[in-house]
Order: sequence, then structure tokens, then C-alpha cells
Amino acid sequence: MLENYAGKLIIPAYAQFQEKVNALQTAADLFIQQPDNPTLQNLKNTWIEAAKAFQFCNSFNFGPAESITGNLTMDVATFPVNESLTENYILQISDAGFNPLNNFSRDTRGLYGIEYLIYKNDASQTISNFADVNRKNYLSAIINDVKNRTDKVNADWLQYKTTFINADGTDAGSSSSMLFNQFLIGYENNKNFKLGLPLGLRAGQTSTAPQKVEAYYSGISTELIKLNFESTIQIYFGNDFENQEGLGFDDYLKNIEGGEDLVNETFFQMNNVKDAFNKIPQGNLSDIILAEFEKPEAAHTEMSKLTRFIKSDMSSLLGISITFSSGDGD
Amino acid sequence: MVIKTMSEIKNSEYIHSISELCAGTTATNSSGTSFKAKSNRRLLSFFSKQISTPVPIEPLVFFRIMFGLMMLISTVRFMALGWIDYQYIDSVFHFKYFGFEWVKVMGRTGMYVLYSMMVAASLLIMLGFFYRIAIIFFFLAFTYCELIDKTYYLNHYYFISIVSLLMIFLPAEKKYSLDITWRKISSFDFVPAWTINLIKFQLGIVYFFAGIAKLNHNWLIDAMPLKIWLPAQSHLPLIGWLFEISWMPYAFSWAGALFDLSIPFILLSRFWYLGFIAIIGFHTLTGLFFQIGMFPIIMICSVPVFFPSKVHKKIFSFFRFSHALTQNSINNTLSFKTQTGGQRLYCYSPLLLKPLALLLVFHLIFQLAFPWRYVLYPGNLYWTEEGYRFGWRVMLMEKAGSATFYVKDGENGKEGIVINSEFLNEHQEKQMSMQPDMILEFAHFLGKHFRENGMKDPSVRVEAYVTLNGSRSKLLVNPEVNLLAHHDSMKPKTWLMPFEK
Repeated sequence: MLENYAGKLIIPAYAQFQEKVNALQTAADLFIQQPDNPTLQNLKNTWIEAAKAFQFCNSFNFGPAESITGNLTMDVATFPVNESLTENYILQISDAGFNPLNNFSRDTRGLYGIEYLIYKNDASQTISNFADVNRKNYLSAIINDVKNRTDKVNADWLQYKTTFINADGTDAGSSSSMLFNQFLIGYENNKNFKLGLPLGLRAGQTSTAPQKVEAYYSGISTELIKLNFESTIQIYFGNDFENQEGLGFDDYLKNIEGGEDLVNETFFQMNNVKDAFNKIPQGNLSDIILAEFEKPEAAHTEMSKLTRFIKSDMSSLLGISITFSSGDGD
Repeated sequence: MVIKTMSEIKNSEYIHSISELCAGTTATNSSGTSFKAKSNRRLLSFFSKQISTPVPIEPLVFFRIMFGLMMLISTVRFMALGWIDYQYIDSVFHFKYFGFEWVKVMGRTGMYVLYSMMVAASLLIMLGFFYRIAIIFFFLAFTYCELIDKTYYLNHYYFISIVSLLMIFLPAEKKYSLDITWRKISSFDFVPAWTINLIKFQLGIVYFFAGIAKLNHNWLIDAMPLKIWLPAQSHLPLIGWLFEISWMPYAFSWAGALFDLSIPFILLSRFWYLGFIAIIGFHTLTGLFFQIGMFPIIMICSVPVFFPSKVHKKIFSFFRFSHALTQNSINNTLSFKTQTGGQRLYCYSPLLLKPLALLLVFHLIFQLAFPWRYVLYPGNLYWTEEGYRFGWRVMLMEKAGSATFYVKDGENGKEGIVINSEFLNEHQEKQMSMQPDMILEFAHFLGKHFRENGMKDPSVRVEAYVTLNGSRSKLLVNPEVNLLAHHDSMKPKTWLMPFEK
């Protein structure tokens, strides 16, 4: 099972993301050299590809993707963007000794920082903005940051693969336990922060917050949410990128009393979620939240209904300690 | 303190008089000749044998050293794993035990200082240096730490609290200790039997109650939760394949129940060594299977208190270090010794003994009765967990839940969903999601939180889906109920949903 996850899901996901980030960097170099419509369009296209590819990486924040200060998802995919602080950093980047990456304001960089720089304004405005060398340097710096972090995780996984496969069992600290926890967190983040928060569903919110969607400027939020959910399904079933069934959590569950039913019910609810996603109209999620609130809200409701299958039943049947290195049981 | 030499009490008739001196209270009764029934006398002599007969002090001393060592390892491990920060400091909110809501966590420095002092106290207990002060401090500090947050409740923490409380009153430092070598307190070779039997009792009920708790349909007939837990061990080298055999969970369930119920008696019998082998095997396996931390090691190291004292004597004489201590203690306490034999019995002062006896009797009754309080509650114990804690119910059920809280603004009727992880760490969320009293406590915390943030008249409800021993998850709490209208008490919780399989 772990071999399938490492070899067919995790490492390929990171490799794919790395490839897209490399393309993004090449496109950015071209754009910086010559900011015009074709190079900007090319840059935007490569950005979309990278953002999509990352949806298949954001449930694997353990091992090489985890550090003392955070994890890869925090480092390269924090949203919403802090616009004023980003602009401040752009102004300061020419100052001697100032490094815009030397802080924990992750909402000024990463994929969505890049998105802000290239999508915030219309094309002609963006091109003219990029006459500014500071802005060029900033774009280049934050893309470089994404690339360095991605390269490092990719390189480390080649080493880590053996460790991952050998740490079998289901105790806290075992690979299954880490993978399951991150799978759960990835799923919950998708539901809570990509949908719930912009919809204003969080307790204490008095209204919707459409500006808080992921990929606010490019408007591909719904697409990313769908892909993120595809990744959840992929991990659940252990499917690879050619959609071939491999050994996954579902196979383990099926071997335990009551597991077969659980897998079927979970699969059924996953389809309900997908149906609800497909009913969300095309276009910017931030606009749709205002115009047709009930459509994304229905998707959120279906996702909530799925939670118990994963968080209660599945974790219980897997015999996995859902908490990670946080205490003993008895 | 009354000191008697063993030469005086070698004669069995003397033992009776010694028991009068040591136990004080029973003297008038037992010396009377007007007892009608023989059985009464036999019962009495049994009790007098278990309570006041002088027995060698070695098992108690050995237990003290092991206990200190275990606590030393446990507290150092706790700090090294970063759990002070994780469990006490980084949390926004702590779940309190009923009646102990007033216990507050100290700041980071305070907690680190406290834990460091517990490390030191454990060392002092082990070495028997300023033993009384060390064990009193350890009991208070350890119990305080456990009372901070019931998320981290473990039966063996409860056990440690009880044992350290009892040890305050036991003469465990009266041999092989630095108090004797350096502080020149007098050393003793014998203690009244109850001082050791008390520890045996406390250990025995851990197993026995754990065994009783296993005598139910889930465990014996359904082989749950082992049917879930054992297959998860099939990756283990050498023995892994065993756990894929379908009848293995049954074998383990029945063997486990039988083990728990019988082991206290085996340890008390002349086949104690077989019992100890079983203890080692049992705890090694469970330690390997489950994430239960120090528990197996603590139990393995505590059980030798059951051994005959000649074993401890051999162990002590095997180590030269302790031998040196003995020599020292003999030299230092020479002045206390009488001419003959030099075997001295530790006796409690009669003034202390009376209230202590009362307290201990109360303690024994409490220990035997408190785990049974669950029968006073309606519904399934595992589902409602009313009367579950403090009952030695160890590794009995596989339970997990997901709880979604909804907070409604009383002014505009808008209802929002709580993201639990904004207030709770993973461990807290996991425990809370399946335990009714914690759900209620968290609901009240949320009510307070949102009121403080300007919400008028909030109401809180929860959709908690809980799975128990492989059942499909079901609602634990009535999702319509405003939890803020209910307060925690010892009364049955009326807002729970019944458990139907």
C-alpha cells in the first residue's frame, strides 16, 4: 500500500508540479525580458497549470514537505493575498539588505502572490506595471522561492521514499497515520477555507467573504476546489494519475468487518459532492457566491456530509491514531 | 514510633502482641476470649495477618526505587517529547474535570520549572533522599498536571496519582536510602504487612477491574475492538501473519479477560513467578500493538512488589551499591539497635495510626465502589461514557467521532459553523468529538467566546457522528438541542441520542 502511495501518487504529483513550476519560471523569465501580451498570456497559462498541479500535492504535508516553520502548502499556496504588504515589499526590494522572503508573511508570495502580480489588473495595465524593475525582481524572487522549495521536496522524496515505505503499521508516526492525517487535513481545508470561509459559513462571520476565495484574481477557484477533491478521491482509492486502481485505504478497509459497506457509502457520498460541484455555474466563484449563493453552499453541505465517513468511520476502522505524536492512549 | 526487635516477636504468640502495638485499634477486640464463632476468629486472624504481621521491608523499598525510576523516565520523556508545550501551553482552551474547573494552567516557564522539579523529585524518591518531602511534592505536582486538561486522562496517570498519594504514608525509605546514609534516619527491616498489601491491592484492582470490564458482549462475543485492532498489526515481522487469522481476535479477547481476572491471584500465590512471566508477555505484546507509552513498563516494574521478600533481598545483595548502603545503615543506626538479632520493625505511632486507618478504609471502599457508579446511569456506558473514567477501563473500545458545532446569533438568527481546529489541538478535538461531557464543555466555551466577540444571545448545537466498535457512525447528541441550556453535572445527560446498533 505504502509503495503504491509513494511511487504512484506522491512522487509523481510532486514531479508533475515541479515540471509546471519550471515552465512557469521559464515563462516568467520571458515575460520579464519582454513584457507584452503574448508573454503575459503564456505566463498566465503556465501559472494555471502550476496551480492545478499543486492541488494534487497539498495533502502530502509530511516528511520532506514539512519543516519546523510550516509545510509546503503554507509556503507556496497561502491565500488570500495581502495586497498592501505585497506592494510594500515590491517598493522595498531595491533597498540594500532587504529580502522580501525573509519573514513569515506567506500571504505575500507563493502561487497566489504570483497570481496577484499577473492577474490583478487587465493585461495592458499589468504590462505597463512591469516596466518597474522592482516588480520584475519581486516576481522573479517569489517564483524562484516556489521553485527552490519544490525542487527540495522532490529531491528529498527520493531519499525519503524508503523511510516512508518502511514505516508501516498504524501507530502515530507511521506512514499510514501521517498520510491519513494529511489526507484528512487536505480535505477539511478544501471544505473549510476554500468554500466555507468565502461563503461566510464560519461561526462569527456576519456576511460572505467572496474576496477570500482561493485564486481570486484568476477566477479558477471552482476548478481548483474540484481538483483538490479529485486528489482526495485519488488518495482514498490509491488511484494513480492514469486512473489505475492501486492498493489504497479502500482496500485495507474492505478487509475489515463492515469495511465494504463503508467504502460503498463513502463512494456514493463522494459522487454527491461531485454532482454538487458540477452544479456550481462557470465563472468566478467570488461572483457566484454573491449571485447564486445556494449552489456553492449546497456543495459545502455535501462535503460536510462526507466528513463523518472519513473522520469517524474510516479512521476508526483503519485503527489509526488520528492524532499525531501528541500523547499516549490506554 | 515503637521499635521492637525481631527476637522479641519470633514467637508466634508475640506476633499478636506486636500487632496490638502496631495496629493499636484492634487490640481490645482480639485479645478478648468471648468470641463465639471460630470462623470469626479465623477471619480476624486472616486480617491481622494481612495487616499487622511484620514482614520484611524489602518489597516496599524495591517498589519505591522502581517507582522513582519509572517516574524519572516518564517525566523526562514527557518533556523531551515537547508535550509540555503541546498539551499545556499551546492550547487556547482546556477541558476540566467536573468539580475541578478552578484548576488553571501556569505559564510556560512555570510548567517547565514544575516538570523539572518533578524530575528531581522522582530522583529523590528513587534514592530515598528527603523522601517524604519528595513524594508529597510529586503527588501534588503530578496530580495538578493531570487536572489541567482531561483530554489527556489515562488510567495509568490516575494510578500514579493514587500510588504516590499512598506512598506518602508508607515507610518506603526506611532501608537502602540516602536518608539513612546521609541524613542518619534510623533504618528498619520489618514493616506491618498492610504497607505492602496496600500496593498489591492497588495494583490488583487495576487488573481485576480491567478484567471485569471485559466481561461483556462486545468483547467476548463480537471480539471487538480487537477485530479492528489486530489486523492493523499484520505488518509486524515474524508474528504479523498471526493477526490475519480470523479467530485470533477471539483468542486474544478471551485470553486478555482471563489474564486480567486471574493475574492478581496468581501473583499472590506460590506460582507468582509464572504470573510475572505472563505479565511480561502480556505487556510486551500490548506495548508493541498499541500506542500506550509508559504503561506496560510501569506495570512490569510495579508487579515485583508481589514477589516473596527473599527475591528482593537477593536482588539487593546482588548490587554492590546497595550492599554498601546496608553496611552504612547498619553502622549509622547501631545506637538504636538492641543487643539481640538487630532486626527492627517499623511501627506507626498510635496517634497517627487511627486517622490513617480510617482514611485507608475509606480509600479501599472508594476504590472498590467508584468504578461501579456507571450502573446508576441509563444507556450504554461506552456510548454515553457516564461513569467511564476512573474505572480501569483500559483499551476496551474503538471509538471515534467528528463533531460539527453550529453557533447561532440570537439577534439575527444567522448560524455559523465552527472550525474546531481554530480552538483545539488534534488530540483535544479527537477526544472531544466522542465524549459527551467534553462536547458540552466545548459548547459552553464557544458560547462564551462568541458572546465576548459581541454576539448577542448565542446558541450552540452539535452534529456529532460517532462510531463505536466498528458500528456505522451515528448521532451522539441530539442535534436540535441548544447545549448552552444544559450544564454539566453528575446527573444523566438527557440530550444524548440512544445507541442503537
